[in-house]
Amino acid sequence: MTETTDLIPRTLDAAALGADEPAWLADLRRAGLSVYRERGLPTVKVEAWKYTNLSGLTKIPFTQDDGALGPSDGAGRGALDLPDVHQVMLVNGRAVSLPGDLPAGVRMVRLSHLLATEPETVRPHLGQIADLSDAPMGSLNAALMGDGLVILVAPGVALDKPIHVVSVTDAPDGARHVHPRHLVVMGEGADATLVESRVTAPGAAESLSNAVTEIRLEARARLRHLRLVNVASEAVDLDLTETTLDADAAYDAFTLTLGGRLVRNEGRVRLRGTGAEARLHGAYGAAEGHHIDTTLVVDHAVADAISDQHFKGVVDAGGRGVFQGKVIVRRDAQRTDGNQLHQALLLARGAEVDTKPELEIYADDVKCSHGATIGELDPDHVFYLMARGIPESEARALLVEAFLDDVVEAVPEGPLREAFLGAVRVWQARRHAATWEA
Amino acid sequence: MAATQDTMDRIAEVSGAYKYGFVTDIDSDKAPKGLNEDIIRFISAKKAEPAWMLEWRLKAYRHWLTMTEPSWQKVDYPPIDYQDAYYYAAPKGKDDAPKSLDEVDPELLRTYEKLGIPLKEQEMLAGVAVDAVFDSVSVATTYKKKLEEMGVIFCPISEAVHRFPELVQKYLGSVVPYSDNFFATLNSAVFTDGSFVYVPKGLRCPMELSTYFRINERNTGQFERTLIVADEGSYVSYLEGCTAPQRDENQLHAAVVELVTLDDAEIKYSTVQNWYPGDETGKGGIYNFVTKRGACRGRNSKIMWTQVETGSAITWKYPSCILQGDNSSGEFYSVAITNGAQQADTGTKMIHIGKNTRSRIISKGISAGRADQTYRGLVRMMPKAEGARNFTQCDSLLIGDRCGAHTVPYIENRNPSAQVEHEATTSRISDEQLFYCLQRGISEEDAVALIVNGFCKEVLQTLPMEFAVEAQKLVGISLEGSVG
Repeated sequence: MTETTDLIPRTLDAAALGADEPAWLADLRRAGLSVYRERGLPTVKVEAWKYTNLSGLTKIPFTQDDGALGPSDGAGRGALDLPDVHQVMLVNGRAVSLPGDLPAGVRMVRLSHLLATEPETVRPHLGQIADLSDAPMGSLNAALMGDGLVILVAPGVALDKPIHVVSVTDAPDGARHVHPRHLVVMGEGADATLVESRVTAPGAAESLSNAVTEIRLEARARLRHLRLVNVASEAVDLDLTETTLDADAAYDAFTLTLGGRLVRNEGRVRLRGTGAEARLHGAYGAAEGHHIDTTLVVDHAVADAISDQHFKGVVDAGGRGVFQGKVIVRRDAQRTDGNQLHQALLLARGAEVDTKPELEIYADDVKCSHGATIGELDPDHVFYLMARGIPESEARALLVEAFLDDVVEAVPEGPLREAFLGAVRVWQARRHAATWEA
Repeated sequence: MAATQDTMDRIAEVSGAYKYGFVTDIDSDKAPKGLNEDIIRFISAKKAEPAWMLEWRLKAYRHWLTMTEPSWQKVDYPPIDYQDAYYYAAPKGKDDAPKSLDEVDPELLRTYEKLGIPLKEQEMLAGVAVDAVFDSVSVATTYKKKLEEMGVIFCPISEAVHRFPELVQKYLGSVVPYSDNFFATLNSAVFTDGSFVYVPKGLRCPMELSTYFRINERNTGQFERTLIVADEGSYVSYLEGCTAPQRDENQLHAAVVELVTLDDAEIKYSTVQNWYPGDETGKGGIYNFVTKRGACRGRNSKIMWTQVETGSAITWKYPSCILQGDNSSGEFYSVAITNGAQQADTGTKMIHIGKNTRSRIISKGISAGRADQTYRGLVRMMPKAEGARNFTQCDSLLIGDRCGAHTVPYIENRNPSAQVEHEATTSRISDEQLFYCLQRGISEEDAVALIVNGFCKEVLQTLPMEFAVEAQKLVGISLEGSVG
């Protein structure tokens, strides 16, 4: 196979990778590099990337981020506005401010700092979950990984308030690519809510963020993981999150994506303890020029685990939504309960939605189902509202909002849900304004 | 005049002997093993094909050489050596065939009995060399004559190449081009026979057409090619295959079926596939790699595929509809049963191009033993498919904890007024259902057959009646040994 140099400096020397880092980390980088050099940037011929074409990336003159940027003016614009949280801001993966008032048993540190001071804390978890062989972009991240955030919650500790990570991608002086690497480890019985806002710094040039997050939930740990992806129309934002659940652990994820030239939220969940539960919910809105891809794999490796996927999407003219969901039920993973549902609305001509909900089942005593619907707003519903004196554009906006709000209910009630509903409303207003201008 | 009579007699004798010799020649004919241009020329020459047909075959072969065997399907099999096979062999002579049913595998006979197949037909299915003309033959001839009177063309495709070259040239490869996929391309190069059907304008074909009636077609071999054209306003129902198991020494079957419907025409294509599935350990059995595709070219046209797949070691098959004409509709009903070590990767493709096109997919997969089964389907709404609709339901039933059932639907929508709905479930026969039947004195095996038949009802109902009855029995037989 010809050597691929996409996004990798042609001169990059595998032997020199991670030279000043622990040997195990250098090995991880080299393993990633070798997979990426063999596979290259995934093309649409790679099944998992069938509907998301990255070939445009090779035309952008990217340089790799050096991890030295501070927050620019207005960095964090577009993020959720949340009161009463432990907030941290990352710029290109590197934390620029860390909260000082964390409760005992909770640590939030830079990955670079941990690697320098206590690499053995990181070693059992970093690169342990991600299977690189079928993750071309994950392997690129392994090779080039920059800084990231590590969150460690000791066994039995429940956080008093949510953590809010505002993750800013910035490229002030020309196109940049960045490869943040995050790690979340929740000890036995720990409980936390992690909110993430992924945004682009105002005025940033084209950017590629290729992040990998590894989440480890030990027995009975519970994590609510809520994300807003609200990046600029120039931004390519790829995220791979791998979550491993031990017995009776629970992972409740909600992802709201509102734009981006190309956004891919790839989630891999491995249920490896009985009684584990994973709920992956989310919504997306793709306007003109936006491509939003949600790719999920839930792997039921043991019996008696539960998973539920529910995503809704709204796509406008010139936008594209992709949903690929897969439930794997391994041999002997009996009494699995696995559900999957994707519903999409096409708002105008020129919108496209591609869906591939997959089931791969090797055990018989299971309850698995999937459903997918794609269509336009029901004209009867629009008529119902218009008959009550609501103008058509408003009626349609109301119905779109109701369609999305339904799934936002997965966010815990209170200020969190309000913030997400608010983000949907801002997006709607923007859409509405754009429609009026046109 | 005596001399003239004598001459005539002599000529008759000579030509008779020649004819006899020619027949013998054909009987012993077998192309050497392997595949190259000479073999293709040989096949074409044997069938005395016109030059355009040979050219087409060679074009396909040359293209095939540039292709690689697909590997995306979820089936496992050892690599096939395409050079280690015969691509042309004359049908088996009567000498090789069993002389009577006593010589036929008792296992096979037991199955025939269960299906309730009459003795004479059993002999035919088992390939017993029958000298006496039995009912089916005369039935077939009567039907053929009647059909011809009405203008329906129903003949082997090799015959159609000679008799109706303009129709064959117009439609052959127009739905599945010679370059379509690895197996279809191979078929285009080496196909030996198959059926050709043409239903003229406005005619509703009064009887179900079936290969079964065309008994000269029993040994169509491993590379069958079928082409059915329904002209404006016509209707035809075509049955392929047989509920009774067929023994066959060919490992690889790469068939191609092309359907074309013009304005207001309808084709109903039903298949019962019960090839040899191999033994319990997965040894032997047929590789059934088939390309079936229908084009609804005309307005208001309709194509309906029904398949009951119970045989073959490996099935790779996606009967599809290209819905070009406005208001055209495609339907796909499938029951696939895999038991033992069988593997099946099957489903459909519905490509909506025209306005108000409709499609419906009902797929029922039953997996037992150590079998693996995948539903793979594509529904694509093209930007101009205004008001198109699709409904898909694919349900899987698992019997036993060593088998697998997988669903891989692809749904692509580029038109906001098009609606796509997809549902899938996976379940197993519940203990309550079984208990309910057992309590009423039904044996466990019969209970499973009953429940599975209920599960498949929607699909079996779309089969022609006699076929449906046999298919129901077949469902039970295919699942034998999967419980207890």
